[in-house]
Amino acid sequence: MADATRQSTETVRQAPRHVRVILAGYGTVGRAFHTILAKNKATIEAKHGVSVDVVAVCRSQGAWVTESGMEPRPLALDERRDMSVSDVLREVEADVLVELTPTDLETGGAALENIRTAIDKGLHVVTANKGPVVLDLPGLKERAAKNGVELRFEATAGAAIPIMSLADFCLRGNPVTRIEGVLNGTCNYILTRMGEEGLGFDEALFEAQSLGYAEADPAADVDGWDAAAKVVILANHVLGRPLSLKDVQVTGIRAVTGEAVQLARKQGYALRLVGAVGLEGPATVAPRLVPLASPLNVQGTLNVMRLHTAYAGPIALSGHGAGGTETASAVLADLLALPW
Amino acid sequence: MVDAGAPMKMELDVELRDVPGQLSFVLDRVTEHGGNIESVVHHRQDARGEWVPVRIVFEVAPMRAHRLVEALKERVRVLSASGEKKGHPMAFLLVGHVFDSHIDDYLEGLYESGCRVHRVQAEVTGKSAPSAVFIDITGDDDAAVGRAVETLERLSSERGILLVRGLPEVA
Repeated sequence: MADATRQSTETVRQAPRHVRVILAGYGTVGRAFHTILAKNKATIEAKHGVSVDVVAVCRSQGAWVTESGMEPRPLALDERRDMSVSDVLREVEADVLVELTPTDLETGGAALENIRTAIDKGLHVVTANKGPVVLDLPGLKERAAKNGVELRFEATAGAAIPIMSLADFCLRGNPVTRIEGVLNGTCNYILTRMGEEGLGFDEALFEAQSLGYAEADPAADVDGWDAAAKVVILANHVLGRPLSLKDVQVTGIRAVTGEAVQLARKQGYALRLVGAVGLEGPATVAPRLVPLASPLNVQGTLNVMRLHTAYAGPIALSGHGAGGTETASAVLADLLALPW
Repeated sequence: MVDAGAPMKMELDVELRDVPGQLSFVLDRVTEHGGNIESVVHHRQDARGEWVPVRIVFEVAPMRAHRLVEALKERVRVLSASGEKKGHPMAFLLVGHVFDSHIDDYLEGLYESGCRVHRVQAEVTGKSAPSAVFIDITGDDDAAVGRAVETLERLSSERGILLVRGLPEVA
């Protein structure tokens, strides 16, 4: 088997395969990814037989290109080149585009076109950007297959939680019939605090914003659209059900009151924003009553996903659904899972 | 002898006067009605004056349960008596100005769906503030629960109330 051969000691003893990365987006996740990559370079070479170099970093202000490989460091303005991601894709030789620009669920932003260009050029693509995956997963997969490359996007649903790998690899031959989960850490933090401290929604939101868990404009999180995007991704990839955002019935948590959370708690339930989708029936994101002892009752900013499987019953995984290094861990795992 | 049906588990919360003979009165009535006692727990920490809350768990034939409870009421305070829920459970939470419109409509809708309503608990903070109402039901099958969900969805949506549903839990 090809996997086994790649990972055999004999293969690893050969010179490592040189992998050149174009990194688009250099925010919290991009910098964390670059740092983890540099810090573990020797281990990655020894264990996975690849020597990974970042040959270009693209930001909105321009690009930094060093074909011999860049160290993670502050990007000096005088080294900046006036190039867009598509310029870099055209001019810089690379093996993979790591796309970590901010999510745009309406149009996919420039990321969608850049991913298409990279695939057409024969580059593998790893992304944490939900926009392109939500808007055109079937199209992107087809394009990748046609060009003999892979598109991986583990970090787009549940960030650090290896849900795609679980479904694709560990559960081979065991169809997933339904998925439900707490898919947004911001909402979960707010609801946890409303339950623990009896805070009202506005107070809990303010606290989440002060701690950096919620954006100044929290709409995408508290109105349920971020969770809905993840439902769409999981439905398409894990269940093979071609849903788009408009197919998801979405209710956010703005109308939830502290009294409601407290009352539910007294009756043995936690209130959680749950995304749920099965092979048929409606796909939903809504506040739900979850028994206090349920694995879905995760605390704080944690996420959890439960897969109902045909033969193994339910399997739940919880972990961090956001954060720089947490998200970067999934991006790196995707990069190393590519067929080098 | 009349077939009284397969035994069901009952949880009985009573308040007993803290004097000799009270507990044996209760236990004798349970036994007389064919009940099989599983546990008796005194909650002395919650005593109110000479009244001590006691929870008694036993199995009894459903047809005898009602008469048993009536018999107990002669001498002790019965706080609650609940049979073990069978069938498909579901919990709901209504959030908003639930009491501005007829709350009985929700309960009527639930009864019409064929479900049994076990608990209705409300949290009301003031006339202008939104309230929260918790409802716990069981239906004989998924179809009955489905009808209950549909009814509550329709009523709550018409009235601008947030309906929070339970999630079917997996063992």
